[in-house]
Amino acid sequence: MKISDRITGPALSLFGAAVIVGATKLPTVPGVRFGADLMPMLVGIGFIGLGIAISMGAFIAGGGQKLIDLSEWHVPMRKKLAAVWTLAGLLLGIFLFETVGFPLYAFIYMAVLMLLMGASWMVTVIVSPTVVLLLYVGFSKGLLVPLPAGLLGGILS
Amino acid sequence: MSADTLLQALSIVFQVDVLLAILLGAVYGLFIGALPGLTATMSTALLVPVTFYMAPVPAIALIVSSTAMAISAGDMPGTLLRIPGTPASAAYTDESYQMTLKGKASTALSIGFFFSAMGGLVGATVLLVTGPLLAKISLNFSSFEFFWLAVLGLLTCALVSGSDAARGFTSLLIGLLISTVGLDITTGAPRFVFGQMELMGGVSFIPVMIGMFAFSEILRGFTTGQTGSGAEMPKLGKIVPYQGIFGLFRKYPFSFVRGASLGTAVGALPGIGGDLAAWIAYGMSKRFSKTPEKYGTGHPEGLIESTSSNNAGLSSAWIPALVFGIPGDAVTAIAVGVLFMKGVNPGPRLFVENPSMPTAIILCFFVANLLLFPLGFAAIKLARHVLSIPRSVIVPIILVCCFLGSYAVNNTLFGVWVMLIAGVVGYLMERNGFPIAPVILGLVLGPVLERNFIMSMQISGGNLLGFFERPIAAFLGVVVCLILVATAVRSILYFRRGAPGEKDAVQSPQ
Repeated sequence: MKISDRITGPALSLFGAAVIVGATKLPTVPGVRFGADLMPMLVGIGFIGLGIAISMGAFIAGGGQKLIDLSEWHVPMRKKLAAVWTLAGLLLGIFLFETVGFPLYAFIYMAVLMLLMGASWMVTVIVSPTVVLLLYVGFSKGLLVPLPAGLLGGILS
Repeated sequence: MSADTLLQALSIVFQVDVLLAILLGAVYGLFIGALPGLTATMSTALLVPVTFYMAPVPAIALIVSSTAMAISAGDMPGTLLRIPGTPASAAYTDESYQMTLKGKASTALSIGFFFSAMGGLVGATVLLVTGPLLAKISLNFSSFEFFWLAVLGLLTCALVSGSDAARGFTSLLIGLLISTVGLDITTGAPRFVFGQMELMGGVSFIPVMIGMFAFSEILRGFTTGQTGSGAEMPKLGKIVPYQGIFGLFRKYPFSFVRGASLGTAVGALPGIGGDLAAWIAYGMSKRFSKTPEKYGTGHPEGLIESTSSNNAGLSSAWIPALVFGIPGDAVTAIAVGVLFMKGVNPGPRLFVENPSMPTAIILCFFVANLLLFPLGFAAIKLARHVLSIPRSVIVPIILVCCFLGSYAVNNTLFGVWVMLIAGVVGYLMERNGFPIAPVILGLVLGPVLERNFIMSMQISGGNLLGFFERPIAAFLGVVVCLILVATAVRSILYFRRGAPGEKDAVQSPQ
């Protein structure tokens, strides 16, 4: 997804202005001359300046480019679905992780993605549970990362 | 250091438990470093519970060897998949990946392991011989010197992020802005936390790095034909570990010496650590190279310099940690914590009361770095299999590792959120010509820069000339100003003459 500098430049400047506004609202400590707002202020000013520079560059280069170019996403439906699942599956995982548990969630996430990316059923059935189990044991038992076992708690404990 | 101390230290190091700890640490570091998304810092943090059950020297030996190996192995995913394993390797990931695309993956991997080990040995030697002296010098630095040093580090982004300086600096500012999130270091005021408790502690660079480098790369892969089998991955060519490495050593001896020296010097500065060394080394290598136009196209020169500085900085980061108890970087901060936990207080008194212990710890660096040669050999041999795995298998595994790595930072799902958002932002940035590496640099160096800037401003009463009053600060300040002027002039010339790529395209018969 390509966004024209005619959008990026002004957006950066606006973002910089928002950062400055946010910085002015930070609490000040009496007697402290250079406080929490100094660095964000400088960063905000930098964003405004660079936004103007990028806008000017786009202006000098002239038009021609689409404002938003989605042509690179003209790929087979399977790839689009894989990309969507990559994001949606992670979001789903964030919400269901504690309840479903790492082993089951990771297995489903991995297996669906493998199939969408063109792996065979046989490879998916062998690789995904094996890898998930190895990662679960390695991290939760070996490295003591508290990964929730969730619905499979009774089997894995 | 007396011969007795050295002999006692040797007898400690060559005990079975210490050697076993070094070996296990190295294998563990190799595993963690080779997996994209899992960093050396994280591997060290994950080791802390294990060190509960160990004596001080084997505990530190475990940390030392795992870190050295993880940092070196971090070059593997960078070289093969363009996903850097550590923030330091991010500095030269594009270079090593370009070598892979040119069929020189074996050379790139060999450079990574060989020069990392060599750099580590140089750093360890300096640590052993001149550690106390260097630490004393760096202790004399004030906030002014540290400020300029951080600025110098940040400026390297202008050197490594291509010809469009505006985009490079924009990326840098994004990193600096993210670094301001959390409790302000001077006043303790919460900044940009939007009422979220988890943002109070700031944004950890680990999930940001995983998101920006690993997750965004996977998203990008869906549109660039890299989603099928392993056959679509770049060809590795013949894998012969360390082949031609001595030729490169003879061809670029100054790159190695400069990288190792710079890594040692930068790593020895308290609070700076070794990560910055790789960035400065790469920038400096390009600046001083006779063929700077080759950088970014798969040229070994910058790779040698930055990878040498990597492990040299890693070793020398222990100088302030051991001699004065001031951690040089995140890893040594954890290690100092482990030592405190064991009732060992690192500092000058340790060298007086129990000199064999710090010496034994330093000797562990030698053993760990020497072990890099054979283990690196095996790792390079195994590297082929990383690419022979179909992408439809490796991508889902990497994604689950990204999830795990982000989760394991604080054992909360907040890290996964950060990784997800950083991944999408990183994807958009990458597709629109904004380099990702400066974001990480800004994020890592942001707190160092801000802390020293605020302190210096307060000391000088807001007078900017105060930044040039101390001799070393003045020297560093002038260097920074010269680089800024040179970059500005280069940018103006670039716009006046037109981009070289465009000219070439026009002049090319094709």
